[in-house]
Formats: sequence, C-alpha cells, structure tokens
Amino acid sequence: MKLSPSQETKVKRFIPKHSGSSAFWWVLQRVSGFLVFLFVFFHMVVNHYLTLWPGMESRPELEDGIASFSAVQWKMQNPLYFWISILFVVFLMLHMLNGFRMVVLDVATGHSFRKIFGILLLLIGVLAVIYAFTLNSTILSLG
Amino acid sequence: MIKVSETENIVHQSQVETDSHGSKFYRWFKPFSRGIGMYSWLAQRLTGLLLIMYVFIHFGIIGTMLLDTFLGFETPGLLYNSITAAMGSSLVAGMGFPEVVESMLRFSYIIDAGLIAALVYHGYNGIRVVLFDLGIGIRKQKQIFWILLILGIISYILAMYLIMIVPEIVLAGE
Repeated sequence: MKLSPSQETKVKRFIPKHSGSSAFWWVLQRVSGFLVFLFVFFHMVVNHYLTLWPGMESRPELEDGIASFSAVQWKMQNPLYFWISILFVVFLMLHMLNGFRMVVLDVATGHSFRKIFGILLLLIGVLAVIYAFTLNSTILSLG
Repeated sequence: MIKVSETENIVHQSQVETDSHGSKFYRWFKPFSRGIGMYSWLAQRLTGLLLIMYVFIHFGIIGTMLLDTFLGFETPGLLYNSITAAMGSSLVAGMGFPEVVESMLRFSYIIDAGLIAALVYHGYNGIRVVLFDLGIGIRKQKQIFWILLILGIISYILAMYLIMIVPEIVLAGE
C-alpha cells in the first residue's frame, strides 16, 4: 500500500528516532505511565472513597478509619487488591525509575556512570517490588 | 506554519532529553524567553521528582505496619495507627477556629492537596506528551495545553471535594 506524503510523515512521527534499547525504554515509559494512571485511580478510589459506598460505613473493619491497620488487613484479604497493589508497584517503579534515569542522564554523560546508575536503579526497583510483596504477605498472615 | 523539523523537535522532545548532555542542563535554571512547551516540560520533571520523593516517604510510613511485628509487640499495626491518627489530626485543634476549618486543616489533607496537584499535572501533561508522540495536535499545542490545564483544575477540585468535603457531609449525616 502506498502512503501519501502526509501519511508517511505521520508514520515517521510514531516511529521512535532511536532504535534498540533507547526506543524500548521510551515506549515503556509511555505504556507504564498510562498503566500507572489507571492504578492511581484505583488506589485513590479504594483508599479514599470506599467508605462512601453504601453499606461500607457500617463494616467493623473500617471502624477506625479507611487507612487503619484493620482496614488494610481486610482489603488485603481480597486477592484482587493484593495483586493489583503488587502490579501497581511494578509499573510505578518502571515509570518512576526510568523517568529519574532520564533526568539524571541529562547531566551525566559518562558511559560507565550510565551503566552503574542503570544497574543501581534496577536494584532499587527489584528491592521495592520484593518489599511490597513481603509487606502484603505479612499483613495478610497477621489477619 | 510549522516546519517538519520543528514539529519533529516537539514530537521527539523526550527522546532528545534522554540523549542530551550536560551542556543542556543550564536550561533548567534559565526562566526567561520560554514558550509554554518548555515550562510544561520543566514542570513535568519537577512534579515527577516530587512524586518520587513522596513514593519513598509513603513506602516508609506503610513499612511501620510491619515494624510492630518485627519488634515483637503484641498488637500489630499500633505504630502505624498512631502515625495515621497523628497525620489525620487537625493542625489548629483547640485554637478557637470553627469546626469546619479545624477539620479541613489536617496534616493529611495538606499532604493530599499537594500530592494530587502534582499527580494531576503530571498525568494530564503526560497525556499531552503522548498525543504529540503520536503526531496528534502538534500545531495546536498551546490550545491543548490550556484545555488539559482546565480539565486538570476541574479534576483537582473534584478530587479535593471528594477527599475533604464529602466525608464531613457523611459524618455529619451519621
């Protein structure tokens, strides 16, 4: 199919200028950003507005407040909440640490620094996900 | 009319950012002679950095849920509940202010107000960046900025209304 010049320009715009890993991180930043947007919305609704749902205000688990430990334990018993919060941390870390990497690489140009910094951020991300999983599992086991 | 090269500069701003070098860093601190695009880019990064700080503080506070267990206390979540109760208490309690003002000036609400402002800006401007990446609305970038800003302000007011006002109405009803 032959594209018109204006269509070709549009297609060119969509294709990242760089290839390989930089294009991968660029696309990942957009995709993770969109997913984080959805997760934040879910997080806000569940953690701020749940008591506004009819019948929720009388639940004993929410008696001490929607952010109390008993409320968190109760919410964590739902596997959907458990795994969504883990996925939230995964995509949040991807978006956040990759964004931070972009900001730092504006000033840092050394190849070895970039490499070490990338590994350090990866380590922070992995630790954060392990932390989230441990936290959720322990809260659940205490219930 | 915008030339193709200029258009591509806007579209691939983020990619250029990734590969730019130290010499461009001074732009961050040069506030004059800028367009809306540059200010929004700067604000995108600053709100991003603020949100990173918030996430790690948030992780720390949530971590206190486990601290009780690790310290061997019998009541899990005691420390966490004390922290959230302190954050939820009014900053002007007992100072003679009307009850409505007292309940609104809570530390947690002030933190939420800042957090949601940063989130809304970062999210809506992120949508704008993605639109430009897809080649949508580049010639009308200023109008899109103002439209999204208005939408952001409406979302912000709505979120703050749901966080600060609605719970008070529900509590008053009980």
